[in-house]
Amino acid sequence: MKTKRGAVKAERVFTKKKHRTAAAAVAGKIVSAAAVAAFWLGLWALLALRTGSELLLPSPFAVFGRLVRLAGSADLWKATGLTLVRITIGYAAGALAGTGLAALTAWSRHAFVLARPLGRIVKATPVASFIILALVWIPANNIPSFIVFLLVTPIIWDSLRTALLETDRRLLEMASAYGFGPGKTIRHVYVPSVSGQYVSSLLTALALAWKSGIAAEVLCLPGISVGRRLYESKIYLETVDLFAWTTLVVILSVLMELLIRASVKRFTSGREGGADD
Amino acid sequence: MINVSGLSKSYGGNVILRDLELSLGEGVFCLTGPSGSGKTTLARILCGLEEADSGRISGIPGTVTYMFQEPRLLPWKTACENVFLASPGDRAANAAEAAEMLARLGLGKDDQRKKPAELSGGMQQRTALARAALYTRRSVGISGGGSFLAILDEPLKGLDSATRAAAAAFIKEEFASPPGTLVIITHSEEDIADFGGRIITPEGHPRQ
Repeated sequence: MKTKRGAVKAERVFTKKKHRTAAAAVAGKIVSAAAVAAFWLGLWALLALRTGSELLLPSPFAVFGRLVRLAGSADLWKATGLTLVRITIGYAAGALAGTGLAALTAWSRHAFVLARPLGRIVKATPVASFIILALVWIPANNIPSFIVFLLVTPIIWDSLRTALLETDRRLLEMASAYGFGPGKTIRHVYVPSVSGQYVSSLLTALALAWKSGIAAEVLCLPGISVGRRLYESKIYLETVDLFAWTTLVVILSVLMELLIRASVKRFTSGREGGADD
Repeated sequence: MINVSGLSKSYGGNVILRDLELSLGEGVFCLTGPSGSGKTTLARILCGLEEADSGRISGIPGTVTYMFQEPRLLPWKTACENVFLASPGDRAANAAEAAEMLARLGLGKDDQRKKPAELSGGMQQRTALARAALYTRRSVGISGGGSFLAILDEPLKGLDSATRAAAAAFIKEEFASPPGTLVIITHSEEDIADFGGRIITPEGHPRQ
C-alpha cells in the first residue's frame, strides 16, 4: 500500500478491538447523557443569569424547584392524569385508524383513491382550525383526544401504507409459492418487513400527539388539564409555572416514548424467541 | 402426466414462449437452453406463479414445489426456521426434519441457527434446497401420497465441488423417485450428466 508520501507500507497489523462489557456500555451511556444534560442546563442557567429576570427566563433551579412544589399538590396529579388519558385515547385511536386505513388502502387501490383526499385535507388544514371547529361540534373535554386522533391517523396511515407497498415482492412470491395463507404471510413477511418504519412513525406521531393535545387544551380549556394550567400561567405572567408545566409535558412525552420502545423491544424479542408456527 | 399444449407467453412485444407442446411424465427432466430462452418463464407458469397468454396445461399434481433461482430466505429467520416454516404440518416434527436435512447438506447446528445474512451464498442456496425438499415431503404426506412436480431453478449454481456433490445426492434422494416429476433448470453439462433424465428445452423439443 502506498502512503501519501510515496513510501510503501509493507505490512498492516490488525488487532481485534476489545469489546466493552454490557455494564460498562450502560455506564458509558449514563455518563454521556449526564454530560449532555449538564451542558444544556448550564447554558440555560447562564442565560437566565445574564437575563436577570424570572419573568423573561427563569433559571432551571427555579423551574425544577417549582415543579417539585407542584408535585406535592393533588392538582398536578389530577391535571397530568386527565391530560395523559385524553392524549393516550386520541393517540391509540389514531394509531388503530391509521393502521387499518394503511392496510385497506395498500390492499385496495379504489379505497386509496377514495380516501386520499381526506388524508390530504386533514394534513393541510391548520390544527387551530380543527380545534376551533371542534369547539362547535363536541364538548371541550373531548376535543384534545379528537385533535390528537386527527393528527396521528394520517402519519401512521401514510408511513405504514408506504412500508406495506415496499415489502419485498420476491419474498411475497416465495410465500405464495410455498402456500403461506394470508395469516402466515402477514405474520412472517409483512409484519417483520414493516415493523421498523411502523415503530418510527409511532414515535413521530407520539411527539406530535403531545404538541397538538396540549395546544388543543390551551385553546379549548377543559376543566382540569395541563393545557389550562399553561394558559393560566400565561394570563398571570407566571413564567416559572409555564416552564414547570412545560417541563412536565416533556418528561411525560419522553416517558411514553420509552414505554413504547420497551413494549416494541419486548414484543420483537418475544417473537424471535420462537413464537413461530 | 403433465401436458402442455399451445402455450405462449410474451412480455411487451418480446415473445418468450411460442406454441409450446410438452409432456412431462414421472422422473427427471433437465430443462436447458440459452439465457433468455424462457426456461424460468415456463417454470413459473407450470407452478402457477405466472399466467400464460394462451395455451393449456393439464395434469398438474396437487403438490407443486418451486425452488427459485435466488434463495429468497426470510432475513429475520434462522436457516432452520426458514426451512420448516414453509412446510405444512406439525411444527416440532418439521423442525426436526429441517435440522436433519440441513445437516445432510453440510450445515451444522451453529449454521442452522444463523440468519441468512450470516450465511455464505452457497449455504443460503442449500437452505433453500432443504426448504423445497421438506415442503415437498410434507405436502405429499398431507395429501396422502400422490404425485408431485418439483422444479429446481439452478439448484447447484455457485456451489463448490464438495457441497455440490452432497447437494446433488440430496436432490436425487429427495426428489428423483417416482411418483414425482423433477425438473431441473440448468446450463451446466455437469448437472445434466449428474442427473440424467430427459433433456427438454423451452421450445418443447428434445435437445439434439
